[in-house]
Amino acid sequence: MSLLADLLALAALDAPPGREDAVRDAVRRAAEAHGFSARTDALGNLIVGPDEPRLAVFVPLDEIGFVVHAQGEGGFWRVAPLGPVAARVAAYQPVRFLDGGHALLVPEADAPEALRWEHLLADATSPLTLAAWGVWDTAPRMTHDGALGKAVASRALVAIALQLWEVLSLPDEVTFVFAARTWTPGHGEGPAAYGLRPRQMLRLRPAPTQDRPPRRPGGLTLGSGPGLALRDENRLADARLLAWMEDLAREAELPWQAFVPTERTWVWTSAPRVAEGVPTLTVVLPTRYLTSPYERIMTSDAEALLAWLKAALTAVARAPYS
Amino acid sequence: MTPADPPAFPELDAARVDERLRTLTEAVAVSGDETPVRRYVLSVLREHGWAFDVDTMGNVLAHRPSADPAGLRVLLAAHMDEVGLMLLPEDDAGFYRLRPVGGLSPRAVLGQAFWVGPDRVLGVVGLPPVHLHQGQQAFPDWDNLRLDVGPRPEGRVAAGMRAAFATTYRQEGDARFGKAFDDRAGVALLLELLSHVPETLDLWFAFTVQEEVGLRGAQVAAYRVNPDVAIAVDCTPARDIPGLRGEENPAYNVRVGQGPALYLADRLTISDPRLLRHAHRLALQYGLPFQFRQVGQGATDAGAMHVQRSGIASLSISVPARGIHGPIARMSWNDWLHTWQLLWLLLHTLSREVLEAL
Repeated sequence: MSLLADLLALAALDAPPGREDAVRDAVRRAAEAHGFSARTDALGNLIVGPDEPRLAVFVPLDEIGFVVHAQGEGGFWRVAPLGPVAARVAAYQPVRFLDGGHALLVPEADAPEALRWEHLLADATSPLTLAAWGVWDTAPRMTHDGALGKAVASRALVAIALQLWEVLSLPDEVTFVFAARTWTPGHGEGPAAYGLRPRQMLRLRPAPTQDRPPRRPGGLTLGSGPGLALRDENRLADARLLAWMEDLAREAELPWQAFVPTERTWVWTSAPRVAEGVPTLTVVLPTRYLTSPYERIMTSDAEALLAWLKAALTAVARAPYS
Repeated sequence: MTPADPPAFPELDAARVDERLRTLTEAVAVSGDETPVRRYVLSVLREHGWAFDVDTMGNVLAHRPSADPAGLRVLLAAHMDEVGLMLLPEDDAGFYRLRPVGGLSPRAVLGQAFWVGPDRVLGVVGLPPVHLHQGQQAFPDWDNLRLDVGPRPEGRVAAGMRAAFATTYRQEGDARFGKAFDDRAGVALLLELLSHVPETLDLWFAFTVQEEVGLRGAQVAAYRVNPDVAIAVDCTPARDIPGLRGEENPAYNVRVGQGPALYLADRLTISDPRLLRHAHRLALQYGLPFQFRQVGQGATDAGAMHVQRSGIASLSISVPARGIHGPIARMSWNDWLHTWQLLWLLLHTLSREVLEAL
């Protein structure tokens, strides 16, 4: 299957944080079809490859989610977001629940202009269940230059990993970690890194573009290639990994862009600080409207990222921490 | 689901529990100096013959090994510390400058009496009468507040000491009033479970320190115990006061009187779906009242425990109480009792099968 077909099929699955079963099962099946063994840890991370690998590639499994926590008055329900979504983005958007329910998120009649989540109600088409987990109810679709819909950015990264397995036999010294709960604090990456003890890791993340007018310098742009995060919210990118990936991009003549995340970029991780420390670099897929029901990505960015990672895995013996 | 026949819950001596809650809540054990509560916990552990250890940070780790060598390792954690004040150097004849320890608003301390240090020396953050308020800040900041302990013998009060609200424990029917239910209610739950645990589990009880300043004790406790399952037993604020016009209060968190609060997710943790499902089913099956805590702010020791080592399946269960992190809170006896019964059910039904299928 093509990268785009893979990602659309994966984006149609629902995987809110903590309930990533559907995507995890799909990836596990793909791994087993390639003859790779896959294991799941206590937090739901799916790990494909050996312990203490030379390189670990971290890929997010989850997407923005919602959970029903109370029944309100008048047949409306209360839901809370799992992940960074502003209430103003969620208003008048449809949500579907893993147990089959559907609802429209609507503001209370006298809600203020500055909406907060406590002002949103779920107008359900059928009775909801307390503690039901949900996701945006928008179908992923192809566009002339990419894909549009819920979770297409995260699923593009999963699809890239599956494509890598199609074209490369998994090197003995590379492990893929499909990380759970990456959109919520306390996410799965740190514990997975603790258990694996990789010598170095590449984290694949979607990151929001800043290319809507008025443009501000320094932000990511859709269609300009994947990005390298020069730092995350609280630490610098590993300089040797950064140089290695820059060299690979230059050799393969691949477009890429550097960027400095802000606190609203959501690329933070505890993984580099576990155990004795893990050299880490975050590689991002530029995404418009990230975490909204309609994320937009470009095929050219995803294909460049696939080619870049292919080059990295082919050259894993030259990775800086060997 | 039809409620099953209720199991034969062990009888608890309500008078003993009340006395325990009185002792625990009237102790001064602000984060970083949990000694009075730790001493009490150790005395109860000795009484019940549990092995225990106190780690470098001051956590009490009590252990009851399983009769089954392959028994599931389960850690229950309740924090010993409470929010309060730290005294800074005296600036004049018994006036101490203050800093909060943990989540404490200056509004909550105005006009309140405090117990300072292990001797519980009385002090007050005085409030001038309202007719002298003109021109003053409605809510002073910490720099403008002083704790007045009066002239005291050398050594009984000193900079660096902690102070906690001077609130005595009271009971009125189902209501229990006091300070520091967060988390002495949880400590009391664990102490009352000591003699009612199954032999199938490799069981650890952690009485943790410094939860209120960043879940610090639980982090090292969970790292050391490395359990299969961790359960944070805590007390959560109930913001369930009705709206001004009698309308629904959408900001409520949990409600007093509605049973133990099961956490779906909070600021730091998504509860393990298998443990949450199991606890939910138990409550339904045995007709125990329970409620889901609203997702959002706040966190428990589970926030630190679940990300230790390669990850630990974790769940939080709390007793709701109004007014915590303030001078006096209200808790329901039945909520406390139903939380105890839910924990008892969990301990007697947890097995490796519960953790299968992720």
